Amino acid sequence: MAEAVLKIKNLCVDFLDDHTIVPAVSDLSIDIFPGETVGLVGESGCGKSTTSLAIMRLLDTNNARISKGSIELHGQDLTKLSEKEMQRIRGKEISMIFQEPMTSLNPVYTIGRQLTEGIVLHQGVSQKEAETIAIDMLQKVDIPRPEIMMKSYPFELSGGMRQRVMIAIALSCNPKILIADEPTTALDVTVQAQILDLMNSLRDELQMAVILITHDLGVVAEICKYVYVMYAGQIVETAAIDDLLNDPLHPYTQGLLNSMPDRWQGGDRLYNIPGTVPLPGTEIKGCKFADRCEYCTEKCRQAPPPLVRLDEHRSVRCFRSAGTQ
Amino acid sequence: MRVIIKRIASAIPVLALVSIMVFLMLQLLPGDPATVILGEEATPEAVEAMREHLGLNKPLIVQYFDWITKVLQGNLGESLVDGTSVNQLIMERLPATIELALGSFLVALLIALPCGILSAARPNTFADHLCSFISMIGMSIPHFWLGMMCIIVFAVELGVLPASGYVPFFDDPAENLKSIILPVVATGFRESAILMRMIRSSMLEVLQSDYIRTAKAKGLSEMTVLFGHALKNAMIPVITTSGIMLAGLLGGLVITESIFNIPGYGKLVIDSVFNRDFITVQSAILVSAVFVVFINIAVDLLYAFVDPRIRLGKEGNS
Ligand SMILES: Nc1ncnc2c1ncn2[C@@H]1O[C@H](COP(=O)(O)OP(=O)(O)OP(=O)(O)O)[C@@H](O)[C@H]1O
Ligand SMILES: [Mg+2]
Repeated sequence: MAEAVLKIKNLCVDFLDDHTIVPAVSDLSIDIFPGETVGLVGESGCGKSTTSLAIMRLLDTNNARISKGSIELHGQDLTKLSEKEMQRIRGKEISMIFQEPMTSLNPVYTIGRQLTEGIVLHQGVSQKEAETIAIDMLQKVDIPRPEIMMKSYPFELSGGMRQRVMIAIALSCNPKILIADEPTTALDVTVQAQILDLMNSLRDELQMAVILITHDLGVVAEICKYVYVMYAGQIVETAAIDDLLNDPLHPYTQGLLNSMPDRWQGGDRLYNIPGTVPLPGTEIKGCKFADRCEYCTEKCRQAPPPLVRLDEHRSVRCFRSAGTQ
Repeated sequence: MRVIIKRIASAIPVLALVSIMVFLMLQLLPGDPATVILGEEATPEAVEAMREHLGLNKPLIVQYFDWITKVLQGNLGESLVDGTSVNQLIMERLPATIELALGSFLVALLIALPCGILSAARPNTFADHLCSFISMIGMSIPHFWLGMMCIIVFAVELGVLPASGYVPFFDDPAENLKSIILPVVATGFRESAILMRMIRSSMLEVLQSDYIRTAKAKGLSEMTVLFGHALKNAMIPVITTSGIMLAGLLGGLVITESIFNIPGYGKLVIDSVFNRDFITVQSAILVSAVFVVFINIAVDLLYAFVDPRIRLGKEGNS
């Protein structure tokens, strides 16, 4: 098997609120291979965006920091790079698409300018050449009449179009890795499907690795090969997508699957997991999911369960499912 | 282009309204222009004759139209005190005030822009606290006190700059610059304080926005992010404040002009008020109003230039 492009090992991210340290992501490890899409799934507030910003080293340095672990891109540890060195990685090696297409483009500049500046910066080409590349890129993301689009301003475009532009910006320098943080959450369903298709085909064409962040297992099922399920800043289960859908091991994953509308098993109401994600900084001695888990035992409350590896692609953080109970 | 014409057209009723208000306001002031000209001891007959001559016995509305017709023809009337043409009075005083206002504005920008941007880019650092401190001083020190301190230090103690007076630019450019440095710096420093706070908070807000994160994610350097992406957005709310500020400076440099003894526009208005020189006051205020209106038009045009949403006529629906 090919080398992993990105190896995240034991990543821990802390927020610093008024001098108290609040762990937001702990011991997160992910390997990503070229040409494949991995999903990072979890409810709102479980630390997905924090993880992606940590990879880009875009966390606000005033109140967040990577306290432990490494993020290796082709063997180079990103956590050790200077800001200058990171600037050569961002947009060129690793690109990112954000959750909010409506506000992620600068309102006072044209699409053309926002698209070409990264190309000029990373590929060292002239403005004219960058424009040719940019128009090409807009064609790739299925934007009609790209020449006109280059002169448009973001407010003239719909959300779906803006997200396509964001994808074009992100992919304009052929990055090795694309981090897509809920790229379709803010879009309506038909547009959502189009964008996912687009990302799928561009991934194959450009042989990128994609990290798809979402809270929607349906989206994951459509385009991901492997899935990492995240809960309260931790990975609680990893699996190939088919295994996960057929045989979810962690009670949280089971809950997520049951709350998908098309897997709804009948009954008066759509299933949802009782309770909410504990806020970062909540003191929890045992399993973080214990309060919401129907299988919770005394043991779960006493010590945190380790992430147990079951086979090459499967691990789970649960005493019961890992068979260590 | 359409925007410009529309803006200028909409300024006309405003100016008409202002002219009516100025005219009526002066009717309310105590005192009789005829007495001003003739002196307190004039006989009632003489006063009556003068009133007739000045047209003061006509109905108000006729008086107003007499005045405004002349104004529209470019004749602002004659001073009641010594009969000099108000046009000439204003032309004599205006250059000094315009120079002072623009100079102070420039100084304010030169202080506020770098400090505001720096403190927003490095919040809660020493640089930020230093800038806050400077702006606090600017806001709290009485303006006349700062002016006098400047005079004491630079004119009296060091003797490098003149303490007061004004030399017109075309008489002697070098002396002209020397004569306006102190007033311009003193006024500009005060004006910079509010502007700096505005720029800082506007910049801070913009720097938190999603598109700045996008810009950073492209791998742009901090300088490009700050000046290429953040600044233009941050300036949008600042433009209004700057416009109001400049208008204020053009109309109200009375204190600066008094301290530094500069024969400017503010002094002209004040002196005329004390002399009951109604015609001069009336016309001078109208000219100020025209300035304010034109600055407002300039502000709107600048908006359109900076913000494509306004330029392309989509202010309401985006
Ligand atoms: N600067 C910060 N300081 C303190 N806590 C923060 C900060 N930023 C985020 N958090 C908290 O960290 C947690 C994880 O946030 P994150 O944005 O990573 O969640 P997410 O999984 O992306 O959620 P969503 O699906 O809503 O995007 C949240 O509970 C959030 O409130
Ligand atoms: Mg998020």
